Amino acid sequence: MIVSDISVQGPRLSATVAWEDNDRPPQSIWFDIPEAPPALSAEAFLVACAMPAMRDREKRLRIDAPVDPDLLDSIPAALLWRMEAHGYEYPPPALEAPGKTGVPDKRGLPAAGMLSCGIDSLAMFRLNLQRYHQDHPRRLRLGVVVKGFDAPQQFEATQAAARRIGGCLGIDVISVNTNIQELTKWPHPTRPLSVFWGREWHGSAIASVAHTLTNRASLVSLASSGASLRLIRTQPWGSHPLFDPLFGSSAMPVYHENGAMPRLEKTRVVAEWEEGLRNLLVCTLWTRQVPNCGLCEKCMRTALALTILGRLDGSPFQNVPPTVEILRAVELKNYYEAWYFEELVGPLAAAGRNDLARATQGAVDRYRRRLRMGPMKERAKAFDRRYLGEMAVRTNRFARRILLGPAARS
Amino acid sequence: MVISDIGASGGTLSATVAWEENDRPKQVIWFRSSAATPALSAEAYLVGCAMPAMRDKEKRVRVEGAVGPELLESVAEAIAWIMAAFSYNEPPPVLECSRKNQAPRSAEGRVHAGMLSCGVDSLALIRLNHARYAETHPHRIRAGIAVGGFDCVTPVQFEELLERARAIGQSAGIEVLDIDTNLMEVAKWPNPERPFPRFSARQYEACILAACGHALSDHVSGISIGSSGVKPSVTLRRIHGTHPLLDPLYGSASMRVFHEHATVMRLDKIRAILDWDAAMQNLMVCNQWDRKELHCGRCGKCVRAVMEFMTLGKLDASPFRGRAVSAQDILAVGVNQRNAASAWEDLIAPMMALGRADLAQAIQKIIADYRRSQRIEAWKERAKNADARYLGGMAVKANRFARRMASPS
Repeated sequence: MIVSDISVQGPRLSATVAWEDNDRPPQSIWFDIPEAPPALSAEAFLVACAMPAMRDREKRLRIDAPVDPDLLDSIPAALLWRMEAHGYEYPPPALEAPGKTGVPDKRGLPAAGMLSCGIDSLAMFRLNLQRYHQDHPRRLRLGVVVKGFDAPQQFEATQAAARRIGGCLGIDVISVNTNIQELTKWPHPTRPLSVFWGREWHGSAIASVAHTLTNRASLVSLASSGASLRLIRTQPWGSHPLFDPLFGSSAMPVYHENGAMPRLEKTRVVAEWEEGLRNLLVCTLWTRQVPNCGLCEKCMRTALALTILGRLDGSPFQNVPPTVEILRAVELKNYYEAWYFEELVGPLAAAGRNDLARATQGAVDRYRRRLRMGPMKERAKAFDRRYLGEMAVRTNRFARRILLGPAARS
Repeated sequence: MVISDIGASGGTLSATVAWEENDRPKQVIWFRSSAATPALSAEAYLVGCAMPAMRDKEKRVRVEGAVGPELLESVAEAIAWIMAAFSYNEPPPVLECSRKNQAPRSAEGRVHAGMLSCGVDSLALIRLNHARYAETHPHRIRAGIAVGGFDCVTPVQFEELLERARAIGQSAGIEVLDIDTNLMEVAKWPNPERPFPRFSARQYEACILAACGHALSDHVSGISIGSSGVKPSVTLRRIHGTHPLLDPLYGSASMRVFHEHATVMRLDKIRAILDWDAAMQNLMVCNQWDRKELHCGRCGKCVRAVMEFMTLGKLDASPFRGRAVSAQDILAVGVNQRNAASAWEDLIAPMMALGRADLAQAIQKIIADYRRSQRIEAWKERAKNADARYLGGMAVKANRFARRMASPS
């Protein structure tokens, strides 16, 4: 992969990405900052492209502009650890870029925090402003809203909520629009964007946005996901308390805040903050028509936490309270979702909501059962392939076609 | 644990450490430096004492001094990571310190330093750092910190380290800062499950180095720790005393901590310093505490170093000139930790390529022995857990009783 033509024109920082080991046309990748011109940052493209280049087996990643030497040391390490953690079995792309000789003077620039208005980012801002005094360089004074990572129709709502939060906290809010997800639009058999983004990429993708603000911010803070460290250690997530800082440079250090704080604690922080609770946007469902659908896994876990904290009234979920029926329809998709749900079972029972506690545990049990069935199905399929010439699979398909008709195909 | 009376005078930073949950006398813990006056740093004590307090089940660590708020958060996170990785079951100690309410110090007038033990990792750290960072870059190493009381426990050993560090410093164009400390005394109390050598190597080493950096923070704006040169697969799965991902958590906004060259393997590091005469003349590999000479030649590190120089065809240019390694030497040292196993493993193919199948076989044998012992340990652990969970510890008690009956003494 070669990244060239890095330039700033008006509000746009752009570059051309050419694939070398994949038969694909060159892509124009850009970051737009309507409020002010972005920094001319080769680092933004290095950080954005490293993981997609690795996923798609590019042999090298060449950046045709100088980058901070910190990144030349830390990104190979980050890639190697990601590969190890996620079971890649080929070498990472070699990094080819000249090193910068110095760092810009960042005195007086504010610290920035990514502000999606979810539980994690709101808790991060709230705790950060309590923790750091006015003169501390880590005190957040700029919120960054990103367009291009989430459901596009919801950006306006997120931006409006972020501005209200910014007004309440006395911080500036800036928005960055990017098309870096285009890098992973290409079909991939085992790591399509939906999987790759959540499990491996989004931490570095967010860091790449921060690098475009080198002329506007001194550092960036990312909010942790609020999962247990034991889980993060065994099942690394796309944003990771220890990996994320590796995507920072001398000119834009990246911090991952509140790495050891569970999500329920963060929800408590937000629940005690009227303005935060009013502007909460947790839903990430791409097809949603309202800011928080109230039915998806993420809405559900937030509503359950607010039920525990006795703060459902006044929250976006006051009209769609969690019910056993809705919980029965929730399908957990990964270890993290299961952990978030399980974290709530005890507190729900302690809050006198045994019905919800049982239904929540039921959702976790259903997920675990599915998880156990997966390998068993795989083993049965392998046996069938090896000893029965796939006769069982064919018989199953035939029976389903006969019994279910055309619906079996879907 | 309460850390009080933090004071700096006459080149010494000292404090009193009082244990609350352990029946132990108070300890006076100090840092001394002749090259730079130690800073009045409560951070040095928070970073240096939090892990031993966690190991020894103290309920809190109260530091009677102000520390940076970011350090409070990151040390708590580091403790949480260590506890998750090493199966600690007690709650972590609560960190009680007042937060500094002034802006952190700027890096101006201070230098970025590298930890300088004169081993392969630290020499390669300086060499590779200078190759990567231009003169104008703030992360270019401009000082080397030589720590006494850690690997070099006796005054004679520390003097020797300083002498060699100064020669390296002169050659690399960096100043050398000495710092002597008795910080390890906090962690040297007997602990049956996690005795000091194991605790230090697996969970504590970076805290000691970072604490020394904080103690010198009037002079130093950040420190770099050289990686151990082991495979990323090992560092990811197994947390070690210094760890590329955890070490930065021991740094503050005033004194940041970096772990450099995590992906550079040991042989590549040796290759990086082969043509550096001063490094070759002053290399110190052996860290046997009771060694009588510079390199004992018998410990695992020394034996491995001889083979590494053999692999690169530079044994005669190294401090191990004239030494030879036999299969018996390898079998005698064995392997007792995963990092070492990984380093030994890297030598199998080169030894075969050199036509030394005897050495390669000996390495394979000690690695196999190590893995077997690990498997047995894991089974024992599982059996103990099952006993504790389902039998209320009856099997352990019965075993103890049977052993007592078999040998009453």
